[in-house]
Amino acid sequence: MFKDMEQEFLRVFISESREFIEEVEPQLISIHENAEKTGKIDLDSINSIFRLFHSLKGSAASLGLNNIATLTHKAEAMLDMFRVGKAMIRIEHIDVLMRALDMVRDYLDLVDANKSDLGNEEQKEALEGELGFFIQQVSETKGKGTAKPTKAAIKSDNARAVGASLDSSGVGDKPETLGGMRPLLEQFVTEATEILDSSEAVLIELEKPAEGETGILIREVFRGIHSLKGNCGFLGLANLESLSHKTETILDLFLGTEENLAPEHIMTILIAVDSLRQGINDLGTGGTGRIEGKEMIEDLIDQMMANIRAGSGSSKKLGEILLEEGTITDDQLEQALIKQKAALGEVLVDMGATNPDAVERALKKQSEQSQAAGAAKQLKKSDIRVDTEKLDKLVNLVGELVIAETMVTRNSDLKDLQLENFEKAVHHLRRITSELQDVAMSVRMIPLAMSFQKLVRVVHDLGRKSNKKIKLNLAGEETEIDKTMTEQIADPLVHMVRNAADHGIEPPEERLQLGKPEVGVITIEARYEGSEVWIIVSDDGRGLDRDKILERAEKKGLLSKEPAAMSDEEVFELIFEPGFSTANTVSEVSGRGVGMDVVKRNLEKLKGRTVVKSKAGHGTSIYLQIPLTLAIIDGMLVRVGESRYTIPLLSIRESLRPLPGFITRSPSGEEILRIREDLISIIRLHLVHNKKPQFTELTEGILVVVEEHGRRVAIFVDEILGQQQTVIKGLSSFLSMAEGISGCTILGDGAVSLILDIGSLISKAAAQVKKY
Amino acid sequence: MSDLKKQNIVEDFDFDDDESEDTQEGKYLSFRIGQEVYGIKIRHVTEIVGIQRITEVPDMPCYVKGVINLRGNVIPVVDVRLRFNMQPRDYDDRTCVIVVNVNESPIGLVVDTVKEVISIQPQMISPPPAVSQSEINRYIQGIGRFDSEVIILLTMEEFLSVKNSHLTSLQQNLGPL
Repeated sequence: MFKDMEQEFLRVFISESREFIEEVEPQLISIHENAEKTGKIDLDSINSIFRLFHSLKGSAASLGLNNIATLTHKAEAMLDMFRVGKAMIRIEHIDVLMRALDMVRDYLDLVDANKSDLGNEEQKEALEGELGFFIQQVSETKGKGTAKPTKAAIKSDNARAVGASLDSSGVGDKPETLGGMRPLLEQFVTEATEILDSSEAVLIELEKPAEGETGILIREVFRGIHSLKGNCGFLGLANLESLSHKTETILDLFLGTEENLAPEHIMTILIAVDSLRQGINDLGTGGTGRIEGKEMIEDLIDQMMANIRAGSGSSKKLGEILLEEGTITDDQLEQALIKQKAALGEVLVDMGATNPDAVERALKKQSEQSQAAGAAKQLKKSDIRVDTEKLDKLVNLVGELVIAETMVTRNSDLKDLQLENFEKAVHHLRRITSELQDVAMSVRMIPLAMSFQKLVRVVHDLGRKSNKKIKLNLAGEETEIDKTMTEQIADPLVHMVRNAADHGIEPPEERLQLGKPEVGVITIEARYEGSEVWIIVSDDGRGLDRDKILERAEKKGLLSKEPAAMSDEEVFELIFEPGFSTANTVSEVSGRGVGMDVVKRNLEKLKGRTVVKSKAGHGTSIYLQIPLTLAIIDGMLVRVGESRYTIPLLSIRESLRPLPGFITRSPSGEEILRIREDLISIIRLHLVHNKKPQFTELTEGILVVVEEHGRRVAIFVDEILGQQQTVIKGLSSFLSMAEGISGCTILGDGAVSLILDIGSLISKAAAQVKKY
Repeated sequence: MSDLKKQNIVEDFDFDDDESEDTQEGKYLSFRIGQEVYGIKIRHVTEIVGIQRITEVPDMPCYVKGVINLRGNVIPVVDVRLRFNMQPRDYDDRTCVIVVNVNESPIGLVVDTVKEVISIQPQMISPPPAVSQSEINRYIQGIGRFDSEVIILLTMEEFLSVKNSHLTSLQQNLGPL
């Protein structure tokens, strides 16, 4: 049972954290951009990022994912520098934070696979070292006001040492680094002992403080522990760092709410200080800074924090027990802890009557736990996580319901009956089912914003790597598409943006020479277009070079016809061929000719299309046109011989029984319908699907004129059976070869009707015409 | 075969039994095509239904007959006879569709008649004859003996895998796509 719970927690943690990271990335970039522009850091954004890191850290720590916790802690510490306005944010800072996010993401993958985040420690430590380096650098430049200049000097020395080792070896080897820092360690031990001594003294004073001095005293201890934590972190002493962090957190909780500080709290903090001292001593005598019973103490502090948050300012029993113990020694520690734990349990039970004021105050505190809990609370309010399988089932069932409704209300037994009340009831039922349909469909839909936000980072990185100035414009992020579709278009979007940035946008100098603005613009736009979603990626760069594409295609043997006879559109389509690339060199970013192939393939999976528009010197636009699948559409049921097909109503322009004069035969045998001024080629559905029709004479059957993207064809069928709501069911992957079919649906009598895919039918017809 | 008998076969063997991993081992559903008896592992089989109205799907090799509506699920059906390049035969009231679930996707197999569920011990199964190099051999897991009968045991994964079956043959027919 517990295992299940834990797994569930992990699962939720992973998916939440991934969302966090995606949220943070674009924010970081925009902060930097704003900071460059205005010279100021947007505090709100920094705070919100800080909070995200904070809760990520909190959750990771509570799940025992220590690598993630320490890494995010470092990143958080760095953000804190900007938060308190100590430093200006620079591109290097953003970079290192991004890399930290990447690392966390890797760890999440690791957790996903192994249920633990062990591994890659060296890389992590290197990154933490870098983060630490920046932190030190910042506090070095801005830290003139700090109390101990000597310490600052030491720190910067350390920083340089780490920086140097990073430069030389890339990845800092820990034992060596520690060895090299031996003198620094000694200094650290002396300093830490000083800090602990003074903290202890102050804590003891806190037990009987002078009037109004509590706050000042707490702050003093807090400062001491804080700098201890910083140093520990810097020296990579994870144990000491985490415990001092805990201690710091609990102290922070009392800042501003001094009245809540009770003797037993001080006692606990003293225990923590003692343990820290023991760790420092261990370090001083050549150990690694191991702390006996560290977990227990941290647990104790956690419990205390939970206690305080729950509004309990004091609990006599606990205090009494601890006071009886007198000054606590290491030996007595464990014993005291056990007793205290028991007592805490009792206190928690006693706490039925909570103090609302205290709760509110405690919540306001930006303590680790309360924030994590707060975030969780918000999430609970706004959404729940549901297995997509359940959603699929729901959508399926709604589909069934729609079919069943048609079966009942259009039942042949009811024919020719006058059923006034029944009709009313049917009307009511229909309204409810259609609303239910809408809701069921919308459940699976998520806005594209998430997919787009990821690209902010991609563009940022690309710009940095290629020394180009690129601005990314997003539009229509609120457009909602099915969840599975967002997964399928994620990669194509990245590839298209990469292409735009790498091949499309010119370097700044070149742009200036061409009289273009220095900053290139990539625009990603989404919108609904009929029964489709269009996602358009455009850039204002070079545009596609027809001749170059043709030349490459010829070399690779991708040309199927004379280059001169190919339209621009056909030429541009070549860029989607696997292995095609016009890049002269394979860069880190693109040039292997894989990316656009991925675009094409994923789009095909979604039954979508790509359209490329490009003008040399003005840029390129790639349109992804994806049908809104899984939907229930209005369909027109037509009959060919014994088979019934469904044509999406949205595609139908008109239907008619042609007079002989309307029809022309071209010399190549193609049949053409002439309506008014338009000439439309005719597709005989019975030939396409190899059926035996009732009529073979065009004038006896019906021509349904359908249109897609301005291209029109007339489909020849025997008769039109009527219009009805159609639940689209995908064809099994086993049948994925079927062209001209977008899916199927179940008719009122239980038979299966194929839904015609007008777009591919038109392309197919066009291809056939060319063959003749 | 009457519907009643089909029913019996299905009821004789509880396909949905949870603890079935072990009990299903070595069990096969046997069916007849022409004079031969074939068997498939019972764990692939979800149900047996009579022949239904089949909606044809274009661009498919001849043995992919189309799709049927199985209680709201549209599933493709493959005619095993045609899959083995045998002469087509009209469907009658003995024709059955065995619904199998391979790689998470249900597929119906049209067979002449369904026989019964049998247990074949591993030692009673010999490898497929090595002499025959025909393509069909790939789908044969082995030759089983049960009572006095010889049963050709099929491997469903190979038999139905899209890569091996119609996709490649289709590509051969149409040339590169």
